[in-house]
Amino acid sequence: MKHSEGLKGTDIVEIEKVQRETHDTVSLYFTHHDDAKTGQFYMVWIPGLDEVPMSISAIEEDGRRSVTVKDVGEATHALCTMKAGEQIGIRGPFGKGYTLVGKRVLLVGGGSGMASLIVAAREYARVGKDVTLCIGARTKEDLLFGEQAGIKVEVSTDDGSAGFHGFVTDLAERLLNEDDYDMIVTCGPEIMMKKMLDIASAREIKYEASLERLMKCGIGVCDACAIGGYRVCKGGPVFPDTILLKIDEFGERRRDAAGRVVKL
Amino acid sequence: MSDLSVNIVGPRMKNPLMLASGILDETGESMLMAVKKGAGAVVTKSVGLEANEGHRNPTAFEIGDGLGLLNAMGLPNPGINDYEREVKIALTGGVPVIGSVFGRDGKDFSYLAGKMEDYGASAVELNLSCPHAKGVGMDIGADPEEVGIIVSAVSSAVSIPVFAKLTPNVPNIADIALSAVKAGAEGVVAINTLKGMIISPETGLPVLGNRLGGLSGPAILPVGVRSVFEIKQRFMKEEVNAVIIGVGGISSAHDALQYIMAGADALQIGSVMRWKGAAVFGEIASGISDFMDREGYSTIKDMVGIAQEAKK
Repeated sequence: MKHSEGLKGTDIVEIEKVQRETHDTVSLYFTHHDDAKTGQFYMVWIPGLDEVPMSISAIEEDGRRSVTVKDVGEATHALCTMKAGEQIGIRGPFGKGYTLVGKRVLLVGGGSGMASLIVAAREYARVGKDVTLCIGARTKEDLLFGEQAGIKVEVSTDDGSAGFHGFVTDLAERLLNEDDYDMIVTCGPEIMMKKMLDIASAREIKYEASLERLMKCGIGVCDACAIGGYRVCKGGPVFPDTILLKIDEFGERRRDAAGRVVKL
Repeated sequence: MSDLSVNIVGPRMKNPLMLASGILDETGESMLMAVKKGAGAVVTKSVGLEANEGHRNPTAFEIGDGLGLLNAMGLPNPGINDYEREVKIALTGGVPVIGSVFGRDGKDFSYLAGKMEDYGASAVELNLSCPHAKGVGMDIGADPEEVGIIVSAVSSAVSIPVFAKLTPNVPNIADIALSAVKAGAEGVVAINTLKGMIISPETGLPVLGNRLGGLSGPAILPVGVRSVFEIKQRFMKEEVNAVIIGVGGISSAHDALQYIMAGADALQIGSVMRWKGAAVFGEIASGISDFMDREGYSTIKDMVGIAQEAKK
């Protein structure tokens, strides 16, 4: 049976499994019967504490889902310390996901952006597309989803402790020089995604990016996650190059919780 | 051919549909989007003296299948000094911008309204009705006397029209409406959200971060229509000539016409954009126009308050 929002506000689900991914990141598995698509997100309620947007990091046909959480604040810390059997609230899935177009695809992920990108990588691979996943991390210990069956993975680290020593965008450029790609998909720090947009448009390769903004309602009404007249929660989180090239705040500015403009 | 234009906020509006305060109007770019989709005017997010982050999440969610929204945003806003940018961007759309403001007393409201006037707003809307913020909104707007004092202060501080947005969470909304217009308001806006709460039985906790919130959307339409009807009735009885702007649960031309016939001169559209997006402005405007052509009405004014004359 499909979960319905009913008059509940949020669906309460039980955490079935907690999987540690890195020293500060875990995946929480639960069951939520819905029609989640690659690149969509949930609003995850930590009862009595907070509610945060989380990319869906696994979508199984039997309703099994996961979110992958990096411990960066009070709410994410609470999620990272949860155990199987504990309850969370789920609203969603929300937003527009990845288009999954392209035949030779370069996916470029940085940091916790990998939680969203990994589902796209798996889906491209599942339908037989030529996928290269390029992952940037601070150190070897921070590397998220570095080993994926059936997917070519290239790694860069800031300190050189694994793979290419340097920026993931430089690694991506090197791969683009070596091979032909017809699609670039990215999720991670916005400055990195902006750099990839510049690279993609200079090379005339189609591009899309999954954005992150502070979210409140999650359903396109409150305007907290506004960017250039669009809402990341509803118009996004995945936006195509055609839209992002026209938004001058992409890679430059965001809004704080009060709606003030702040530099990235 | 029907004429949808109305003249209530200074510059003439091409249609009676305004973007309601609180929905998709924190940023100038989002207000512009509503203008592009056909809004006749836009009302800003309610802005206060200082930057305010609002309540903790969950702050809003849908209830039922398109029944309504329950929210407790907690009046997030960047503060009046940082808001000039947003008003200026919204003004490039070429339709009237109405500045919504909230404060604790006449002094706060007057200062904020003056700033909105400086920024180029055609009118101000006083938020005397938010049901989920302490010491502001309906905490002060449920008392007719207090409303009169605030409206009077603002009316003498600015030269643009002043509208008081009212709460339905009172025994008699018409008393407050009358008090506002007698104190100098050009008109009233009715209604703000209804106080509400949702509890998650599995956890035993209210879901909203603020626990208490405000209900909006289709579920509250009859409450809004009744409120506007009561206000119009009182204005007619007291021979008061003031504007009524109807808001609450409008999602179609049929809903909009109910408000107009109850006594509304103009309308605001908000929560329905959750389901229909900003394109709903064009849809409702053409629906009203078709109805008028079909039924032989030539102006909006011809329909305002006609339900008042119906025999009981």
